[in-house]
Amino acid sequence: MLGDVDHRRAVRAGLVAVAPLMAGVIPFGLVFGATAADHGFGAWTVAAFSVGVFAGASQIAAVDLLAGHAPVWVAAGTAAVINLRMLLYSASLAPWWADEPPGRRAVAAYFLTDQAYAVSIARYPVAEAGEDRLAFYFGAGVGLWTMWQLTTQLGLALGATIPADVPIAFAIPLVFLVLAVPAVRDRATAVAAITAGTVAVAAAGLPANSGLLLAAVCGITAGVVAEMRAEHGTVGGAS
Amino acid sequence: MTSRVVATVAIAGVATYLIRWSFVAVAARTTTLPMWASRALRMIPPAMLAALVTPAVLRGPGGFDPWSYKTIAAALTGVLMWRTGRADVALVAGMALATVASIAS
Repeated sequence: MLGDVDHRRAVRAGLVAVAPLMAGVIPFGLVFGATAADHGFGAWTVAAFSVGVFAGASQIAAVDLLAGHAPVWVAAGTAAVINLRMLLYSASLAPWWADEPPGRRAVAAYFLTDQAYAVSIARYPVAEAGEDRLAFYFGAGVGLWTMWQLTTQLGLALGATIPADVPIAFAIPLVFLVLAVPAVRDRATAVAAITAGTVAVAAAGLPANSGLLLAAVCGITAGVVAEMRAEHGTVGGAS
Repeated sequence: MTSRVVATVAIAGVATYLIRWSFVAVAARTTTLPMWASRALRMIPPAMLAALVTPAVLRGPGGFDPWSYKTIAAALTGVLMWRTGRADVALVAGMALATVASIAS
């Protein structure tokens, strides 16, 4: 019985922790729904993406591409590339979940988002011993999932009412920009971002959206090199 | 189009889930990655996100077009996010400016 109370308390703590971040998620959901409406998609498409993929930035890109008659593999491939950042989240959370049963971990993986990751990785190092980590994470993750389904459908409903003059599509890069700002924390990540951003513009004409992947590879490489150079310098290195 | 949606959701959904599950599936107590791999992982978010912003802002229907209202609106959003950390404020401000500029032009 005491265990049940602890689990519920952890779940609630997760929900409370993620609540302030919902303000950032709501515009994403509305933009995706409105983008879908703009392209003539309906509630089933919105639900399919929001449940099946459950990742805002990639959903927006995918429906945009599909509406532009891109082949399925380009839309799906672009979505996958956009979601590659979750590799970091998975790698970072995995050690904390090492003692959890594999089935529970497999379910937890589905709910992994920027926000669920952020609140969990902040909590775990300072949580009380014995606090149920996955319960906390599920509180945040399932709360976000629910909010996502609601806001994407709401965006769809509202999207049809937005006047044609409003450049809804422009919200897409703005949303990515808002995510990008906190991701640039130091010189190396700035180098990564500037390099990728520059290559992306230069290579925008390449077929099958390969410019995006090329930009990412260049940016990642440049960032890694910048970081290695910075460390090599401070270690006072004669090489 | 429905079959295209289903196919895209299926492929993107499976791929995204595999990405999310990747390390969690293994979940060893100390996931020791080689140094280059953990550096590369950390560079993915800033690189990916920047690559998604710049073409949409700096390009228009005719190609490279850096002097448009989009650049100013994006700069406003970027600065607001940087200074306040408020995603909702930054987004609304940028969209408001973009809407006004778009209607005015």
